[in-house]
Amino acid sequence: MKLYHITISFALIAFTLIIISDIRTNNLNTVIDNKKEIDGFIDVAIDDAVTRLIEVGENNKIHINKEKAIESFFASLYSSFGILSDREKQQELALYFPVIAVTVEDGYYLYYYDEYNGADDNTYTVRRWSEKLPYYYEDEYFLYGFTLSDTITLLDKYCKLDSSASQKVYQMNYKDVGEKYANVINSSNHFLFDNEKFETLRKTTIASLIENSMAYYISHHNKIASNHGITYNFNLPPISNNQWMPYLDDCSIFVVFQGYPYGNEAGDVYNRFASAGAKISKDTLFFIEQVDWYLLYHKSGCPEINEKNIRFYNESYFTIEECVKEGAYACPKCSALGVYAPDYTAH
Amino acid sequence: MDNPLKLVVDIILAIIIILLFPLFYIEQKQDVIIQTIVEMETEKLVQEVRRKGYINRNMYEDYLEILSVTGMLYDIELEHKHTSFEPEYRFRTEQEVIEEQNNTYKGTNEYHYRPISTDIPHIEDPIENSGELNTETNESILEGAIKTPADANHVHTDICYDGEKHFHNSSCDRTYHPVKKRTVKERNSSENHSGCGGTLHFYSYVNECTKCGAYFQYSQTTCSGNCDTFAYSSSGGCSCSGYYTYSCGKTEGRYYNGDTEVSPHCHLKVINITPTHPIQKVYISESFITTATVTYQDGSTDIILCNTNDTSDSVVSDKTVKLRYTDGTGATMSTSIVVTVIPRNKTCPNGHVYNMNSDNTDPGCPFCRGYLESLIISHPSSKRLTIYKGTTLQENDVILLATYMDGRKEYISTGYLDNLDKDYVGTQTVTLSYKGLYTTLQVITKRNIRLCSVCNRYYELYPDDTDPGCPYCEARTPIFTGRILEYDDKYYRADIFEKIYEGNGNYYFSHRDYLTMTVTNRKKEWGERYLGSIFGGIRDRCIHVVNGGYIREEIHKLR
Repeated sequence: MKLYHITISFALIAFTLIIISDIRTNNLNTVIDNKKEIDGFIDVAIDDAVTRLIEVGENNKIHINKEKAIESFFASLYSSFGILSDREKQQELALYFPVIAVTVEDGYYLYYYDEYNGADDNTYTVRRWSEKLPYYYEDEYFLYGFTLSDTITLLDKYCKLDSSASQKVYQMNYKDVGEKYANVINSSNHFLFDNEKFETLRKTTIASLIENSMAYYISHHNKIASNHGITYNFNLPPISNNQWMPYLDDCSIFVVFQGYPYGNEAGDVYNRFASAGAKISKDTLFFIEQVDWYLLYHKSGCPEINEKNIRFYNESYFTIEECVKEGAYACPKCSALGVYAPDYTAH
Repeated sequence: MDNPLKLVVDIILAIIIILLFPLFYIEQKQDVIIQTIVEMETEKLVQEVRRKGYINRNMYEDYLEILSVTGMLYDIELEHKHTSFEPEYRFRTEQEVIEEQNNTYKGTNEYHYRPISTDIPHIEDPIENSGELNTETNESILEGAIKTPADANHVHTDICYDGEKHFHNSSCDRTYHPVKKRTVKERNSSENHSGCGGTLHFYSYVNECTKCGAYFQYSQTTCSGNCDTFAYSSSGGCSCSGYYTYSCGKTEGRYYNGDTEVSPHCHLKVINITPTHPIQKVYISESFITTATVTYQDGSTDIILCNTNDTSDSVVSDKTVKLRYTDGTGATMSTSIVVTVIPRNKTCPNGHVYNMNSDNTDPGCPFCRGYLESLIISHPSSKRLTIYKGTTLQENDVILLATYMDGRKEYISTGYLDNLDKDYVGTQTVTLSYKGLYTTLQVITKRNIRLCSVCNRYYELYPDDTDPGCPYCEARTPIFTGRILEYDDKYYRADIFEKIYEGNGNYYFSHRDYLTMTVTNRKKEWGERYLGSIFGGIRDRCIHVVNGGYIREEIHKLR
């Protein structure tokens, strides 16, 4: 037994083992990379969707354009996957999104697949929007309709608030309700009186409502998907609070992506629940002030606004871009990142 | 031992294959793991920053700690891309501002034409040309005078003579000649009187005178001559008579003034004198017509020339002038005429008729003195004037040169009429008029200017003199063009670290900013280096992670 025999046999054995494990790790790597890639695609797509969700219409009213948002979501997705020109592949991919939820101020919409029997006795699959589903909560006396902000709608079931029975529906800020009808609502730890409780209840109500609806439609989707050759069993994954909470103050989009096969083995699928908020910042308004020969825009919390002797325009703007379109530079006090006015006086 | 060389080679080979290669291999694997770890951590950090909207020191240092577990040194590069919008302001050129001002001008600027006229100066020099001037002169009248003869029926009477008719009477020297009467021979006989030359015819009964024996008759006869001798008898008597021959030297029946015989002066004596031209109008120094028609006693008329003392030296009107004429008889008759003396007039070369002076000197044609022959503009000589609105031509030194018909030149700076429209800005043709002549001038009216107290330049006002504001000062204010510039600001690790390390602050991002992190290892591990020296193509960096994403949250913190 020479030394070189040992060396050679060592080399042979090591080589084999190394190759095998190498292959495996490489596979894993690829899968992980792939996953990351798809994660990235979905992030980008949902971000794109959310930017298109909010439109400012006339009179500065905010209008939710969910059709455009979904359109841009899918467009972005298809372009990331590289199937922008391939109709069939696009339809295939779309099947892996059983449901998409869009929340608006006082309700939410679901975008789901539905089947119907056509006139020629064929079943057609179509993608459609549900009607607006409200955020409701019921207790023994009232029916509450929540919104994404602090307003609630009350349905007085037994006319407790107004004994003359003329008014059944109230719509106001929940704090006002607490103040006005404190005597009527006899329990003192009613959630209407406590801000934290109210918030928690609101968010959990909304979350659970959306979850339930989504779960219903996802399971509904199973049948449809199986018709198209997808054998995956769709179900709503458990979603942590972290994924819900930040987005329940604002209009947002929730996307469920399930069953996308990507791995090596037959059973490897990609699942993701993605969410994004529109961040229209209804509370971040910009005001434009006239200074000398140029205009300045201020954020709503800027201390400069309280000065009495500045000339303001009456309109408020939602985005910086709009302000700039009017010709405004950024206020150095409240905008850290912005283009400041050049140092030039006309005289 | 067989071959120490073989042994050595074996050992070397063994070391290489069994020790070194596995080490290299393990190291490679390590790289993969490290790469994964770094990727994951970077992803986590990026997601966190995206979610939170800011990065601070703690977040970053936690990340670094995890990275340091891998035992390698990394170069971490952060890039923060922020889209900025900037409004585009630009300066207007002064032309633009002026144009804008002109476009917003609401007033009107219209030209109103006003006709003007002046009259030719009124010069009065009335010429007496009623046409009643004497057309004839004394000479011409006299030449054409027709004497009318004496009245055919005129019989000389006593008044025709400047004397008395002589009748032979006893005072005359006479001689008596008895005349023997001739014998009347017959009844029809006649007798020639040699004295008177007449023939005496006898008629009727003739008797014989016993005295002289002459026959005589009764009836009267008349001598056809003028002698006084006739014989008649009344019933029987013969009155013989002779005849007288007078030697008084005078003839009976003739008129004598004293001893001289006078002839009838009835053709000389003027009984009536009438001026031929009783009303006359003459020029100065022109003689009157002093002819008069005289009627002589005998009825003949003649036109004679009278004398007068008056002259036509001065201008008079309806003056009575006496004409005197001494006729042939020495008597002076006078008559009068009414004379108007008018001054002479002259026609100047321009066709004006004017009166001469009283002393017949030429005062110069007053019309030519007063009328203009031509009117031209002397200043400005180019017939073009540029003035400011609201000023008059007089203020702008417009001078006219008037040439009168008598050649005089006069420079006129005031007193002329013009139809300058003072409220119009632009080019207008102004008509100037003086004493009836017209000339034109092209006037360019400019808008009034004002000095700007701020920039000390002159600028034009509006045509109606309202102030648009100094355009130069206006042009220094930039205006918004309506376009915005969109550009990406990039902030790098140094900027971010500056924020988060100095003062422990947070580096805030804005919504939709893009954060990119690039992590590469700084140097190779020892194994890599050896490999790198053998295989020159292996890259220096083997850990390379890039991660990035849009920031989803924006914290509104004030500076």
